[in-house]
Order: sequence, then C-alpha cells, then structure tokens
Amino acid sequence: MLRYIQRRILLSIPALILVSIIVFSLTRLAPGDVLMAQIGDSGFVTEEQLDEMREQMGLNEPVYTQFVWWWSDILRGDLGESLWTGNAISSELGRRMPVTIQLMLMATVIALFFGVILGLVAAMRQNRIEDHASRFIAVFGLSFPDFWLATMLILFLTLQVGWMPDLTYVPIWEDPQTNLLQFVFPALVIGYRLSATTARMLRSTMLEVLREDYIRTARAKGLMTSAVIRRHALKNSLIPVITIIGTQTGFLLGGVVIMEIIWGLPGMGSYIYQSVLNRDYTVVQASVLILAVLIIAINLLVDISYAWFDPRIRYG
Amino acid sequence: MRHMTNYWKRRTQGYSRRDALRVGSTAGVGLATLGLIGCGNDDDDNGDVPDNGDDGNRVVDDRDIEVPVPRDEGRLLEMFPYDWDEPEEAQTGGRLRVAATWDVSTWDPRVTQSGGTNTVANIVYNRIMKFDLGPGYSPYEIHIEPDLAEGYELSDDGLTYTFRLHPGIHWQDVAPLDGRALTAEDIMRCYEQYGESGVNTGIFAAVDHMETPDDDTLVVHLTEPSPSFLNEISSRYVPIFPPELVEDDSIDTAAVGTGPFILESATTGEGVLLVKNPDYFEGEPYLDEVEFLVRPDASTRLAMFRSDQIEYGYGFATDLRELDDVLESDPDTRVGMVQNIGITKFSIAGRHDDPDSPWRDARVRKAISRGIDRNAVIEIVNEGLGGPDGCLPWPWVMDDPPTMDEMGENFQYDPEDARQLLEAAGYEDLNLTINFFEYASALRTEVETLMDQLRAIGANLQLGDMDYTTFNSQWIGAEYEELVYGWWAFAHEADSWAFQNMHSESPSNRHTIDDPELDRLIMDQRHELDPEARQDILRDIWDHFNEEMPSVLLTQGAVGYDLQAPTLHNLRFGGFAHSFYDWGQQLPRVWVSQA
Amino acid sequence: MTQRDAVAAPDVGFTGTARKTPLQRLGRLTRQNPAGMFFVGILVIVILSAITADFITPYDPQSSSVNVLEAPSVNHIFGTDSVGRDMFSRVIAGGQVSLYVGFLSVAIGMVGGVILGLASGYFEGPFDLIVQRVVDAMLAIPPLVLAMALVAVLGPSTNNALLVIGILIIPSNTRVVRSAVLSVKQNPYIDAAKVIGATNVRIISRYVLPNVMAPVIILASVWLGNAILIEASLSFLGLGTQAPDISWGYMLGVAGRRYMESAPWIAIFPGLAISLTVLAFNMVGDMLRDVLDPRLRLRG
Repeated sequence: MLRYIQRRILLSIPALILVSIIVFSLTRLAPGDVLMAQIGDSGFVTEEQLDEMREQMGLNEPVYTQFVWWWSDILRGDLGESLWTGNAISSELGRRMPVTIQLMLMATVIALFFGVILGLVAAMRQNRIEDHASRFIAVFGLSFPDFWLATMLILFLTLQVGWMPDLTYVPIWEDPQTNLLQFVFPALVIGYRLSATTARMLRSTMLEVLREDYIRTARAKGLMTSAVIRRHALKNSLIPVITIIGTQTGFLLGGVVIMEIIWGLPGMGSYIYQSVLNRDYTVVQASVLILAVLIIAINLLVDISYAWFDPRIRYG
Repeated sequence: MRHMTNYWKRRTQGYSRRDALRVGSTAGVGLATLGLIGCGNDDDDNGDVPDNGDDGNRVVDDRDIEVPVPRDEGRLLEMFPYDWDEPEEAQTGGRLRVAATWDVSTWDPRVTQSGGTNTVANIVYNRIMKFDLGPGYSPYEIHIEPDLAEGYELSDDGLTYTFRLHPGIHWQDVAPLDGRALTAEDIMRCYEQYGESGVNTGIFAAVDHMETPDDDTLVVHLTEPSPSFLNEISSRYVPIFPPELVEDDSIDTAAVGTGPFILESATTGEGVLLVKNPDYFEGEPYLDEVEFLVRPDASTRLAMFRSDQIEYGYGFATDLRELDDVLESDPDTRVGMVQNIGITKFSIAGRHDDPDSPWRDARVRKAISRGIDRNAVIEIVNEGLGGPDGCLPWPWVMDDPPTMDEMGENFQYDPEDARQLLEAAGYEDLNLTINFFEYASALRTEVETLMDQLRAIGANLQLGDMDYTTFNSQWIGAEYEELVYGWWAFAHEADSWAFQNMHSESPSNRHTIDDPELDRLIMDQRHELDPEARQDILRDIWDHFNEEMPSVLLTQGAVGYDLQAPTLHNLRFGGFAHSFYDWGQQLPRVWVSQA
Repeated sequence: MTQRDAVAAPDVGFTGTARKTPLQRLGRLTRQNPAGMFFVGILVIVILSAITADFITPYDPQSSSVNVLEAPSVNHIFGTDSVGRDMFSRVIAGGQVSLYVGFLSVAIGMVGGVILGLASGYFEGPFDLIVQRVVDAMLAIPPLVLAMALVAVLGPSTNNALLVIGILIIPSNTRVVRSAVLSVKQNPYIDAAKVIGATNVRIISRYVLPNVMAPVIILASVWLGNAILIEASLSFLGLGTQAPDISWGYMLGVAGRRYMESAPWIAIFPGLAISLTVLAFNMVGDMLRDVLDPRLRLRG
C-alpha cells in the first residue's frame, strides 16, 4: 500500500509539470496581456510606452526563462505576485481557498444526501413507479445549465420571496448563519447536479451488488432486507459512488466558477475566471497548479479509500 | 408634456412606460429629437476658450467656464429628472454601499484609466481644478471649478497658466504622508510623472516647463496654446498623488491623497472600503464610510439593490425595458438617467492603412452607411430615444442636437443605393469580420441589428466577439484585421477629442483615419483663438466627416441609468463628460438617511 | 465520467442479441421501456427539425424588426426577442447549431479517446506511460478552466467551441477505453488469436474494438447532453457560439438571462429546448446502458 501511494505521488510530478506547461503556454498564446486589460479604455498610449511597462513587469523575457524562474520560486514556496494588483498571490489564495472548499464540501454533502436517497429508492424499488420517479428527478437535474438554475433561483427569491441572502461574503467563523445562507443556494444548484450522477451510479452498482452471490446467501440465511442493505449492499455500492464524487471534482469546480460569479462569492473560481480575462499569468498559473494538486490528491484519497471500503481490493 | 408624477400615475393606471413613450411619439415630438431636445443656449460667448479681456489676465474662480451646451429639456429629463429635490438638512454618519462593475486593480493613475483605479483615485486624491456635478448642475454642461487650486490665470498669449493653491491643505494623516502640508511642488512633481510615462502623457504633451515661485503657486508654461489643456487636467484622469508614493514604489498598492475619504482596505473580488477624512479641506464629509462591492454580474447587482444590500447601483443593461421591472417591484427607487454624450460612442471602423482593405474605397463606406436604417436601430435598441451621431459630441459643434436629415445623404437609409455602390466598387458579396466586445448588452442588440440590415445589401458581417483583453490587444494598437465596432477615445474638449481620434499622427487614431483635409482642419481649430471662428471650423470637420465617412457613424442612443435607494441623497451621474467613475467631487456632499 | 467508470463498465459487449428483426426488437423495447421510447421520439423530432430548419422556420431567424420583445401570439408563437426576431424560428435554427456542436464535439472526443485509449491500453509500455501522464495532467485541470484558457487562445466561435469541448472529452474517454482494453486483453481468445498469428490490427479491429464499443456508446450518449450544456456555460461566460450563428446556449446565456423578468419567453423557450434535449439524451443513454450492459439485461 505504501509503495502504491509512493508510486502515485511520483507519477503525479510529471503530471503537475505538464499542467504548468499547458497553462503557461495557453495563457501566453492568448492574445493580449495584462497591460491590455489594465490600461483599459485609455485614450492615449504609444507602443514605446507599452513596451516600457512590459519591461518593468518582466513580460519581455523569453517564455522558458519565465517558466524556469516561476518553478524555482514555486519550489521555494513563493507563489509570486499578481500582475494585475501587485499583491502576493499566497495571501489572496489563503483568503479564497476556504470559500471554494466550503462551497465544494457543502455541494458534496448535499449531493451525497440526495444522491444516496434517490439511488437507494430506485434500486430497492427497481422498475416500479418509485424507481422511475427518482431516476427522472435525477436525470432532470442533469438537464439544466446551472447558470440558468441559479438565475431562476435569484429571481424567485427576489420577486416571490422578497428576500435575498447577503451577497457580500462573510466568513463562517465570523457569522455562521449569514455565511451558511450565502452558501446554501449555490451549493444546492451544484449539489443537485452532482446528486443526479451519484444517484444513477448508486442505483446501477446497487443492482449489481444485490445480484452478487453473497447477498443472495445473506438473504437465503433469512437476514432482514434492511440489514442486508445496510451491512452488505450499501457499503459495497458506495465505492463507485465515492469514486464518482472524487472524479467529479474537476466538473464540480466548473460549477463553482459559475456559482461564484453569480452569487458574488470571492473564491478560486471567480478569481481564475477574472485572471484568465485579465491575462494575469502568475495568478492563473499558481491557482491552476493548486487546484491540480487538490484534484490529484482527492483522486489518490479516493483510490486509497477503495481498499478501506472493499477489502477485496489490494494495491501492490 | 409629462412629468415624473404624471408618468407614475400612468403606470399605476396600468400603462407601461413603453405605452407612455408611444403616446409621446404620437403627440408630435419628432423622432430624431427625442433623445436630447435643447431649447438652445443663446449665450454663445460662454465658450470654453478664454476670451481675452481688456485687463490682459483673467481670474477665473467660480462656474465661469461653460461649454455652450443647451439646457436639456428633453423627454429623458422629464421622465427621469436629473435634478430631483433633496432634503435641505443632511444627516451625518452611516455607510454608503455601492455595487461596482470593476475589480480592485492597481491604484497607480499613471498606468491606467480603468474603472477601479479611476474611481478610487478620484476619491482619495484631488485634482487641481475639477468638473463638478450633482444636484443644481446641468448634466449637459462642463463646469470647471476650483479644487486644490482656488483659481487660475491665463496669460494673454494663451501660453502660461498660473494656479494659486487653496491655503492650508494637508495630505491625509496616513503613513507615509502623515498629514504634512501640500505644496505646489508636489503638484509639479506629480505632473512631471504623468508627462514622463503612462497613459496620460498626451495631456501634458503641450507643457514646456513648470515652476513653483512659492509653496502655493504653480506656473505651467505651454509650447503652444492648447484649448484643451485646462479641461484635461481638470478631468478624472489626472488626480494629484504625492511624490512619496512614487519614491517608495507603493503607488500601485497604496493611495494616500488630499481627498475626502481615506482608503481603508481593498480586497480583490470583494471590494474597497473608504473611511472619511475628518480633516478634509472642504469640510468633514457626511458619510462615515463608503464601500464599493465588486459584483461583475449585472443580475447580481440588481438582486442586491432590490434586497436593500446596496444604496446605489449602476451598469445594468443599458436598457429601458429592464427599468420597468425594477420600478414595478421597487417603486421608491430613484432613477438617475441622462444621455451620456460622448462617453459611449461607437462606430464601424475599418482599416485605411491596408492597401487591400475594401474600407479604403469611399463607395464601400458610404454603402455601409446608407445600408443602415438608423431610425430602426434607435427604435429597436432604445425605444425611439436617440438621434444620429456625429464625429464630435454635438454640443461642441452646434446648439441643438442634429436631426437625421441634417446629417446629409450618407445618413439616409437607402438599401438600393447601397447595393449599387457596393457593386460599383466591385464587392457584390462583401464578407468581413467585425471585432466586438460587449461593453453593455445594448451594444450587442445594436450590432446584431446592424448585421441583419447590412446582410440585406450584400455585406455579410461575422461577429468577432472577444473578451476584453483580446479586444483591447487588437484595438489599442489598431491591429484589427478588417472591421471593428469601436469606441471613440473620450476627451474633455473638442480639440483633444478631434486630435486623438481623427488626426493621422495621433497614437490613438484607432480608426486609422488618414485624411489630409481633416488633419488640416484639426490644426486650424487648435490655433484659432476666436471662439466663433473656431466653432465654424469644428462644423467643417463635422461636415467633412459626414461626407467621407472614414468611420461609419451610427446613432447616439446609449442611455446610462443608475438606481438609487430612497435613502441616498445628493448623488448624480451621467450627462456630458461625467462617467460612473467620477465620485470624488460629489462624495463630500452625499449622505444617507438613517432609519 | 472517468476511468473509474470502467470498473462498472461491461467488459463483454454486443454478442448474442440479434436473433430478431430490428422491427421486432423495436417493438419489444417500446413495451419494455415506453418512457425511453418517448424520449427517443423527442430526439427524433429535435434532430429532424434541426435538419429541416431552413424549410420549416416561419421567419428568417436573423431578420430584425421594430417589433421587439413581443409576447407569444398567433404571429410569433414563441414571441420575439430584443432585436425583434421571431423566437420560434430562432429556437429551431438554434437546435441546428446546438446539435452540431453536440454531435461533432462528441465525435471528436470519442474518436480521439478511442484511438488513444486503444493504442495506450493495447501496446502499453512507454507510449502508454506518456499518454497517461498527459491524460493525468488534463484531468487535473478543471474542465471549465481549461475551456476558458483554450477559448481565450482560439477566440470564441462555434467551431472553436466544439473543438474545445471535444478536447475536454478526450482524456476521460481515453481512460475508460484503456481500462476496457486492458480487461479485454486478459481474455484467453486474445492470446489464442496471437498464437495463430493474427496481426495487431486484426486483433484490435476484430476482438478488442467491438468489446469496448458498449461503454463508448453509453458514454457518448451522456456526453451529447453534456456537450450542449457545456456550450451553454461557455456562452454564459461569453466564450461560446457567436452571431450570426445561434445556439440555444447563446440565446439563453447571452440574451435570455437579461430579460428573464420582463420577457421570460426569450429565455424560457431556448431553456426548454436545451433541457428537453439533454433530458432525452440522458434518458436514452440510460436505456442504452440497460440494453447494452449484459449483466443488467440478464437480471430478467
């Protein structure tokens, strides 16, 4: 097991380097640079002035030099400064990471809660009305663009309920109630989508597990259905569900980007979006690298949890 | 004629604002004059070019300089009066919350004119003179008033400005300034910085040298008379920052000025908090705090306004229909709405410098121009509120807003003629990409309408929709491929406007206009010291442009509106030369009533 | 979906179903799964109307008029938009672009994923190692962020949107196909084929490919819906289809969201079109899974 983990960590290094190469080249291939975003709709600028400003920002260095410099800074634990504001990226990320992580966690909890209920109902009442209904509810969730769902929700709240959560972010440790109200709606939108995937996965694996010999044996031994479900079927069916949740991290983050923009949450998603538009190279590089580490780590944890959930799986 | 109250009575009787507008059009108000109706200001002498009095030098201190803009008594001001009544007694204290479209950026006003920098720099810093706005002012006039300077003198030859500083001004009591006194040398060094590098060098291009005979006096010597110099240094682009911030290289992340509010904190993606400067030289501001919340999504801003999370919001869709929804649900809302003359001005620009470009052929440009049904565009985009757009903001050229007929034949919709012109030019089927960035959603409506109209004459445009940075990267250096739905660089005076945008030597001539006749006329008006003669030359520029159409002019319909909570007082935006980034002048007077 | 799907994905495929005529099978399917067939019907209608859009739209979908934001009426059954264009015609024409983006991007993703996955899983070795690291890297970047960066480079347009979505699909498909190939390879008949001297090409095309098609088809049906949704998200961020092309995402994300209150019809109808189509793709995908996954089918 330890060797397996070591190997995985070792293999993630080339992946991370590749991630940074991809991001480095894509950001620089995109037309324009931070100056073009920054000087705004200004009237009067000459090419020489622009060049001088680029020189000051180090943007005139060859890309590979910038790449090497950047990595050597990263390895020394320095994420660099935003080209847009001149602020240290590490302090910016320290502020934004909790927002994104909270949103992801809440969405995941919501997804698991509804996903497991829907999936279980569907599997237990296979091909009956409950099955069809819960499958339909699940698939329905996969059929809406999330920005649309979020906008409808905002409209509903402002026009029908006449109330909106405070759209100015408050950290959870300062005012838990306000904070949770801010997060619950975007988390619901993302969570609903994710619960659909979860429920579908749980249903099909559950059906498979229920046909396994040991379940039949357990049933034959006269164990109550609910006990069978709890002790055997659910536990084994949860493996692929956990997997799905783990591998959906990337897609989850996509929803997070849009929700953060719409609900005014200052997290990583809206930061990256704005930074891509601003060509704030250093911020995009650092944030994507951090998210990549996060995604790889979650996937590794998921694989390790396999062994914990299913003793039949052993990693050599 | 309707008034705000009548209008609302109509609403409650079940009319929509749209119906009200329709009623208005049938009541005999001509379409072309709907946007801005001026009764005309007969006082033509009131020009912004100083007329030389007998005493040689002229001291200007209060509302003396006005651009000859007619008083707007048009429909917009009736429906949404700029000058609604405000309570006499102001309350002190409290916080004003604003949802902003911009994000925290560098605070260095030398390197950018972008929204965040503009807004914050103009609150923390002052200018030497300023344009003021707010209740009691006409939104369609430029008032130059004292700011750090009490007034100025201009020498007979138009070459020397002498500014006398307001006595006893101190920098804010924040490190590294710690409340030291402001000196004329501070301002001189600041202007030297602007002149040296950055996006505002053009404003100081005419400066020969400066001197400070004493701590309270700044003398600026120009190389040639510049009709625009005073207007430009009174604009929001060049606020006065202290030399200390340049020396310690902190000007991009810090802002310490002489202004009414002190920058307390700024967080990217969240917002900016400003607290009042109790020692402000014009008196202590009413508000304790002002908070700008960064909310790039328009529907988020609207939701915040409706749920009382902000007192002020702007930059919603430039769209009158959306207003109906808001007023339906929040009838107490104050709507500040005036036409933004000049600030948002778009035309179809093409390449004049590429020998293969069809744009060099005047027939193609005229065909495009005549293939556009501008009246339909105004109807579709702005519900009939608007008129034709000239190459200069019209108040500098004429007394009344122009009608479509007055603009000449290139403004008359004639698809048949347009098709023939294209054929004659050898482009029966013209396929061009038009670069576009959606500054406001109404612009998309406009450009999509144009594309459809032009398709009918055989000019097929493909929208090259871009993000802001991509658009700028091709626009700022004029490196677009074919066409661009491009804006005109805003300037605060006809001279700087004309030179920047239309002169072949200007670095910001992004329409790549290269017309010797225009160049000559632009130089002529610059050197013409007689205001009436100068206005005649500006009129020649206007007519020549309409004839040649080096850039296809469209319509002036863009209307900006902002939403104000009933508790907010003394804040006004829009009009001529005033953008939503001009906060500093007004904030000391603004207050919020507390429950 | 990613490599982990392969754990649950079938490793034996299309064998032993075809003993009835297609019509009989269709009849049986309809009886077994009437809801599924209903959604197949919807898909057929959507696809047909997209193909024949040029003939069945009552108005030119691009044609502007001063009748802006009119509510649905007899003349304009879906109302008109902010440029005075007929929404019904635009929804029909929008289906053309949305389905074009959907099908083509999934085709790119599937072909790319199958080729890379087959090669990677069949030959293993250093090629596999490299491909897998690239896949690792692509999967470690949140897809929407990758899409944003790619569109920033290529510039937003319909074709670039579908290319980018296709690229997003490739890595996870590579994973799925590769694991399916690895498990197929363990079957004795592969060794047998090698022993009798079959070439790699023959083994792949004859034995491996058919056996990995089932998960690929299931995935494709799910991705079709997703691709349409991703295009809508890109449009919301201003990175999708560009005028004069119209996609449902463009109508919803660019124009519709703005008028959701005053003119809900210009948001509702494209929204319904997207949801119904994606829903249909997903339901049909579910049905395909039931049909193609032999273990589920055997349960009787």
